[in-house]
Amino acid sequence: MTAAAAGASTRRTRIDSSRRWLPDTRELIAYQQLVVLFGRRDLTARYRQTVFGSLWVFAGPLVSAGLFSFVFGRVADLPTNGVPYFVFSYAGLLAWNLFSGVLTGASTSMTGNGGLITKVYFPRLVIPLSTTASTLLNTAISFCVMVVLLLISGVGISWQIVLLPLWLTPAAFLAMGSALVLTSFAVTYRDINYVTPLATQLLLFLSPVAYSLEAVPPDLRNLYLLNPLTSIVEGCRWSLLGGSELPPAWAIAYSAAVAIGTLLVGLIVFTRREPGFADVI
Amino acid sequence: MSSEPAITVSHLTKEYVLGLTGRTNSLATITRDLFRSSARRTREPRGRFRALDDVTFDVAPGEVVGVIGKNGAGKSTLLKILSRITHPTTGYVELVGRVGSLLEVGTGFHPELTGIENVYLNGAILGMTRREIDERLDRIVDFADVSRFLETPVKRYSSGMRVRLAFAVAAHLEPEILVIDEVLSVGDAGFQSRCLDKMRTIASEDGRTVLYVSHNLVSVEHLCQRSALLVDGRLEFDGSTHEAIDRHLATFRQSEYGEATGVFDLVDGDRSTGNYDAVFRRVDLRPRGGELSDTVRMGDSLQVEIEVEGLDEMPEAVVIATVGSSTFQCLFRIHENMKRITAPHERCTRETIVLNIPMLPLTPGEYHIDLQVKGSDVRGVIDHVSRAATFSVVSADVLGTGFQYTSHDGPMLVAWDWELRPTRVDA
Repeated sequence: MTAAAAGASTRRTRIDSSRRWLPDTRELIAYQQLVVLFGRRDLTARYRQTVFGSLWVFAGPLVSAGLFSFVFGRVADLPTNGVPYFVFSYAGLLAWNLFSGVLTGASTSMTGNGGLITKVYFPRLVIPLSTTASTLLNTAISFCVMVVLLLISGVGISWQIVLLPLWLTPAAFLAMGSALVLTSFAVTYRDINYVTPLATQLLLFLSPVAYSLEAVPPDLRNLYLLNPLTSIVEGCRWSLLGGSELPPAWAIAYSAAVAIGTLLVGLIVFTRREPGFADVI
Repeated sequence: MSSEPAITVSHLTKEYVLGLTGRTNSLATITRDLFRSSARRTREPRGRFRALDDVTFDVAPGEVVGVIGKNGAGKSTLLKILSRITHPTTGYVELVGRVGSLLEVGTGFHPELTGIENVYLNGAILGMTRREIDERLDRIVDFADVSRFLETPVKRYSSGMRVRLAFAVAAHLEPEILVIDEVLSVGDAGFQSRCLDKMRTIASEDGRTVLYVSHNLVSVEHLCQRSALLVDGRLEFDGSTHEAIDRHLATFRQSEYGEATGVFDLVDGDRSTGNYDAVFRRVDLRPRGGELSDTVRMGDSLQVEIEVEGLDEMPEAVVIATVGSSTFQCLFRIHENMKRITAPHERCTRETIVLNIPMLPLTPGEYHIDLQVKGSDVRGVIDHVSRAATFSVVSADVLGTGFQYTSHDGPMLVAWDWELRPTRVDA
């Protein structure tokens, strides 16, 4: 503590018009506690004055899975490779909810915290990071429910489940990268806040969340695989349910590359535009 | 300790592009413009506005510097740059040490969270670690005086409680450099004085560097030896707080009336009675015997220069100056027989009587001076000008405590002395 204080007393800060290309990681580490506190603020505030409290975390994915089961499983009777449709769609939603949660939370993070941004300094990246952290927590809870579902339904747990992070990480990268670009521009063009939910909804149906890639006509599959989420969701289901086929290797590599590229672009755009946020928000 | 400045501000300039902020060309505007002749098109003015213009100054470690200026003079922009919220267009700022800024009390409070949760959140926003907050928690809660409500959501707090808690967190932040903006505009009088005391402690005893921006000149005077005066984004003056405030008040008056004030022509003054054997021609007001001005700081001296004509013929005349306010016709009156006024020269037709009031005993407000001159029999009025001069008294830190006088404290300022003595109780 004393060493840190001594170090802090000679800390120099230079404020000028120069702009960075990538975030200052050392500074972000210094503010890690704020990431946790913002995340906790969002979670505790969300379930204050509710009777069921954090039980509401379970409601969303279960209701969606139930709805999908009815519409796609019973009415449309899509193939699920022998897995009960409810479990099938819940597995898809696990990846999807991570993606859309990170995207929604982070893309509104600047416009939603204008009061803070114009009044206090802290690395602005702290806010999208904290919304992402709380989404990750939700995903962890959903994963526990998933395990229970797998055991109850008799699908069982296969070894591939350990590879799940391999699919969830690019999903988070993809969402984070796009969200950083979106929120950087939403500061000036609020239209983005209206477009994002619509685009997300569209993307939900364009990705194999409620149905499998097998249900897509073969001549459309390669086109489908251009959506980086396709391989991610399919891969997730492969990890959780086993049995199904993995998307082709090129598609997986492509998705990973797009995810990393998007994150990088997002970080650069955000860092370059960050100094101007307080002036336009 | 090195002599290196804690804050270096070098050629700092901040430009805003007018019409760009918050007013994006909407599709509606663009479409409408398609159907309009080019002359009638909605033109966004793209002028540039300099909120700060080439500002340069240094602050030594442990120094407490005030920043004053009118609204829009660039004070807030300066603080926003210093607290890293916005970036300068050109120039730079260099800070040595940890910076804590308090631009608006209670920023980052979440209404749904409890008091204690908000203390941790707000502390982290201001850059404190969890351990630092743990260590200071008791002092923060004590200072804010909200211990009973720590588990209550902040949305149920009164606004006063919220402010107290927020100030308490920020005041216990203990950074090397503290940047404060207008914190005292909220809260009751008791809490305000506690805040001022705390800020004074932060500044003096803890040896921190403080940059304090306020419209409350009393608190600036109370806290700061040195002040910077910003006018239209430029650093107009940097030096003693007293002089900075004087200059600030002078610019204020000048722009309001367009010319230097403190000069009153009485040739066409408001006269009721008199035989006009002698007449008042004009009055000049010089606070502290210096520049002409009609703004006097509380507790300062005031020199009143009265130009008269024809008084040399009346050695027995009595000159009377009456100071009144809008609510009191007469607050105090000064009589003087011309016989008792020393004249180091041969008497002549036009003369100037100089009246010196070492300490003007008035609290902030608007006042006026009536002038009368009477013959030796006291009943015969020679000249009488109502409201010969008007002036205002503004707050100053006369008590040395930062206490701000208002009209509720009555119009008069008196000198006093307290003492405590044991009372002997005889059994």
